[in-house]
Amino acid sequence: MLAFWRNPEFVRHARAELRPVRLATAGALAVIVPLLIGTAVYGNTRAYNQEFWSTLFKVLLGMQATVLTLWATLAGMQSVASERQQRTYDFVRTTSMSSAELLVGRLFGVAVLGWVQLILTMIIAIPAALLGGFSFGRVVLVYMVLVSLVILFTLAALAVSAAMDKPNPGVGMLLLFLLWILSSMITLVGASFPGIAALSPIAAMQSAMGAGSQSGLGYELERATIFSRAVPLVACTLLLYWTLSAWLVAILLRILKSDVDDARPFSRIMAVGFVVYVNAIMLAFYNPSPTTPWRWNPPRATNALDLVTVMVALNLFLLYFVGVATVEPAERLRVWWRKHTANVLQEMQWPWITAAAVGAFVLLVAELLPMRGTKGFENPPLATAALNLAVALAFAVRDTMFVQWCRLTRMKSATAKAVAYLGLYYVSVGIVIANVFGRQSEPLYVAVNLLTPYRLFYHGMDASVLWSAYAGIAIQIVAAFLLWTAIRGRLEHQTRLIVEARPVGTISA
Amino acid sequence: MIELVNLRKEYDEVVAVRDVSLKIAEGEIFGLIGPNGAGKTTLIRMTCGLLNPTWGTVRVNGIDVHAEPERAQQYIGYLSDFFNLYDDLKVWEYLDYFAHAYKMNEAEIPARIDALIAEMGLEVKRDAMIRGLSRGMRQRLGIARAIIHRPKLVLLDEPASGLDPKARFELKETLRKVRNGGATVVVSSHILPDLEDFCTSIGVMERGDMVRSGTIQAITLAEAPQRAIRVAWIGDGLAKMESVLGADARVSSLALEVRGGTFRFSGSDQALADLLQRAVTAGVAITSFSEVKQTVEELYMKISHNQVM
Repeated sequence: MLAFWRNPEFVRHARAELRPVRLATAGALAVIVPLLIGTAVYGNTRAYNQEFWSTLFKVLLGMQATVLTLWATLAGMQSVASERQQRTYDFVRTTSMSSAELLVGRLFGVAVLGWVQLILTMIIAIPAALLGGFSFGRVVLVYMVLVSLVILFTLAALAVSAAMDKPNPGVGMLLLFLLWILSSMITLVGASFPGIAALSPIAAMQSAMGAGSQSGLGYELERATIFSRAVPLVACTLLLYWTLSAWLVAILLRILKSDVDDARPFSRIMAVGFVVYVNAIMLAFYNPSPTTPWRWNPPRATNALDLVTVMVALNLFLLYFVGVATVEPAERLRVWWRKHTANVLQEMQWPWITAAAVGAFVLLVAELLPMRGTKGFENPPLATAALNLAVALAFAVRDTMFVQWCRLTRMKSATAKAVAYLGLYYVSVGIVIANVFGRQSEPLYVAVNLLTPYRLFYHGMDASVLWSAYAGIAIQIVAAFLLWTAIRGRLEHQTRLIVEARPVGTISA
Repeated sequence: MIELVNLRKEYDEVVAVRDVSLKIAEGEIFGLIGPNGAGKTTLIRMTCGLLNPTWGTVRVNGIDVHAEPERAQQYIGYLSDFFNLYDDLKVWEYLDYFAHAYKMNEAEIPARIDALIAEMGLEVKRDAMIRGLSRGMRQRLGIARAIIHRPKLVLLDEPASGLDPKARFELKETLRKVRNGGATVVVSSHILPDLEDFCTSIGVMERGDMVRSGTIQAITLAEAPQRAIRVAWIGDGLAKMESVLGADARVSSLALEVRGGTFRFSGSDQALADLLQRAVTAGVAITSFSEVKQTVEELYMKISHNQVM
């Protein structure tokens, strides 16, 4: 399977994409583009010195990274969804190829011409890098980052594509927007989670090239922290890209050969595992004493409450993500219901959201307790963490139940619409509360606690309104119970309609 | 070869396939007939593993298709009703891709591709791009793809739709060859003449139910236990014929005219031969004596209520 060049999927893409005319064009571009860039660079340096070659390499590298990432992302987005629409994918699904073989072939196949273009331009870029003063090791590291970035984005694009029954340009644009967001994460270098800046390919490549403080950005790009120990930023990049790629591979192995309606990206264990993974990464990257100055925000040592606020807020989004990702298709839910009513044991996904929240809390406690006694961490606010995680969990469960209920209706694109309705709810509640209680802090906090999980983002609420946080949890539990009752009602109704529609009659040949 | 056990598929509040149980033996050409929306495509898609059933199991060659899909796929060839091919490949490249995807023996692949291309009459298009092929050629290439790995079961969903009469005739010939190669063929169609003189057994689907299934002969017998017989003679044979037929209790619905007529007979082939013998012995100069066979279409019209979901 590792010999991807013999993989039928890869061979198919290579045959279709690498026709002689296209190869000749790629070869011509590999000569013409560096020549044009070299001419432009020479206009600045006026000599073929080290600066000329170094600049030529950096510009070529930037072009290689941009073109190949965009190419692979767009091709990956088209790959499965367009084949589903064209009805060629059914034939692929009925072959003996496993999901893993299909994945490997497509991973390198969808943008095979782009990869060839990369290799051809490397013939000029690598000598330029060596003449520009970069060591061979640095060059290898830079291209490792580039290849890892392209693989990560190809996998993400394939995962999105596999979950759709026709191409959606809007989703493709969102993925490219994500690339832009990642690139801008370079600004997090000076923050309390410097390792997160490693997600930025720009930061990673600068770090790999050894740019460090010469980057002109005013940040120290060489170092991040893992459990407060300094490590090269590029190491964090590779760790993040490879682990995120591994998650995407696990998702793709589940959904690549399945029908769109049956595709569920996460299993129960994966859902909990993903929450634990993100929490573990964040806590590992946490640096309580950021030292790099921000131009607009002087460094401030964070305390335990800051960490709790960030982690709990992060877990709110994670629990929502996991909740929506593990929502059951209506058909599976009806089968479960019938088995459940027939006393046949079959587990459901939802309780595993609780396990995910507990996992996040355990990790947070594990991070905070060793810090006890250090400055700012004398009294770790574990009770606050537990309460806020309970709030996050209550809202996530309620809203997941709402999404699940929507999946049982005849709504088209039920999940997307349910998420949109929830967004509308929170915006409306925010506007109403702000207008009604705008100048009265205590009633405002009470209303916020009863109807939204906003307290997670703000830890300055008075202790006098603490009761309303508990009341808010109770309200969400009641709402979740009502939604469960509605789900049961629909399940009973649909099961009755199906079972009583007509008597069953079968004749065997 | 195929065994479906309580196969069921539900969508929202609709049952697309309702608890179908069926066994199809090796070497059969099974015609799955029914109106559009009867559940034929859903049944075929579940059988080849593309769609997970709500309940029930599908076994092909003894392998559970949904438990061991990749192993089962080696025995299954599938062609859907409307399909596309990879237009950016050449004809031989397309077949080569699927031969490898079905994990055929590497050494066997080139010869198999050449043989199939010849069998499908695509020799002159071997190195042509698929985008330049006609509708009939694409259909033949689709069938070649479905059978390249010599599957034991070939599932074809409305394979004749959109084909001209010549291409339909060629399709029948091709599928006969596939059957003669030892495969079981399941063909769905709502164009019943397509299945005439071709299927060895049929299944009639309506609103997700398999309302009848079995050999054409068995279903015909079940639907009309009395066979319709047409007889013609020359000379003055009417009285003698009435006498011979009237004396046999198994004869009914007698409608005779001066030179011929029809009647219904409920006996065996041997009893029918004896009846003919008695008529000849009685001196009737018989010029023709034949059973009026029911077409699949007539049979279907008797069984079906033409109900869709």
